[in-house]
Amino acid sequence: MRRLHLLYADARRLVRTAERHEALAVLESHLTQAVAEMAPRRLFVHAGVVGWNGQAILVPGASHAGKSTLVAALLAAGATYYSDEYAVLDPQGRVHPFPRPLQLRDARETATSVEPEQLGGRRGVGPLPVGLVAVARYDEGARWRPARLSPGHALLELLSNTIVARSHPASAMAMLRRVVTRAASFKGRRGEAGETAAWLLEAVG
Amino acid sequence: MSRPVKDGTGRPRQRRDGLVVQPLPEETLVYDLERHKAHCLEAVAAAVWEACDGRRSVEEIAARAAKRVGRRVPEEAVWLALRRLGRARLLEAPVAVPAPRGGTSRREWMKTAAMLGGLSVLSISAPTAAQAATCIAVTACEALQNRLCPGAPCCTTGPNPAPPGTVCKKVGNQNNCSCAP
Repeated sequence: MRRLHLLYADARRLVRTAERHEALAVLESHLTQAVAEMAPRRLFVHAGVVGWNGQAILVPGASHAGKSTLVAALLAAGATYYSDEYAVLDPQGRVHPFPRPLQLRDARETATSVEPEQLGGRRGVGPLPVGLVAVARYDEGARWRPARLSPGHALLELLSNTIVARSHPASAMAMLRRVVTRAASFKGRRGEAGETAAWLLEAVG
Repeated sequence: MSRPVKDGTGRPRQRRDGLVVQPLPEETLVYDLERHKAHCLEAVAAAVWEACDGRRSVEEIAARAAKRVGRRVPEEAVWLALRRLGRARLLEAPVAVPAPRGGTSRREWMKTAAMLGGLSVLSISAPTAAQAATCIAVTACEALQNRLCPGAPCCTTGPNPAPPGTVCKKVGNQNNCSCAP
């Protein structure tokens, strides 16, 4: 007899698998997504986040944009860990910790969970105001020469990574407004993560 | 100087229904609830848009926008802004930009207007919740041995998008993972 793991959300089947870890991974992903969609008074933006000198650095971006690698480089340079997946914002525009282990991928795209302490980092505990937004897409061999973003363009970048952008655009834009009117925002292609990390920490001061 | 628009009135009207507006210090964000698009209007474009009440002529809109931004706004700039606002579906009806006078081409005319700055209308499509969530690319999923399948949602965007609702999982006796329902 073959044993299968089944996972449903209401009547919709999420996964049917013989591998328990697959079922658990889907459950974790689904729960995280549900929290991100339904959390009251919190806005989830797909982004890496670290703290530095009492301010947060946000690195918004889609999966495989190199967020986790850049966050790891920032931790190695002394920053405090907040998240490599979601920036969790409150109505004041402050960012809260979402400290799951970092998911670092190797050249074969195999993900490994790494605790921030293994990278020399510490976990953030309280909310921080956002000091810097950096849209940094990995492009092998590129040099980090970012362009400054206006608050409006920065808000569009954040909105394009916001879980509830379509379902709650008014409240999302109001919260993101708090971020972009306070933080400096930059966009560019990055190569080696260490160079970009050093630039970002210098920019926050 | 009044010039014709496609709705025939010569007095463009700002669209109001189905929009969420978020003003910023020097820009205006507009979210289209029907098309799920977000637009960032730079200062002059925003001032032109706000002046489009269906009663003002282009000349009057230029004067109103100039007062708002604190510098001269020529009518060419208003026409360029109106064209961009119309393409973004932020006007009740799109405008027809008139032929330029004095032997200049329309391209040159628009180029001159664009050099004045502040006229950009940048637009994005808002992501669905799934598009904004963490996902695994199809190629990355298929490169994994079946004992390492993460069960994460597969990316529905990018150069090789997966069908919506699929996850990276072991399928049958395949050696590698696949994006499957």
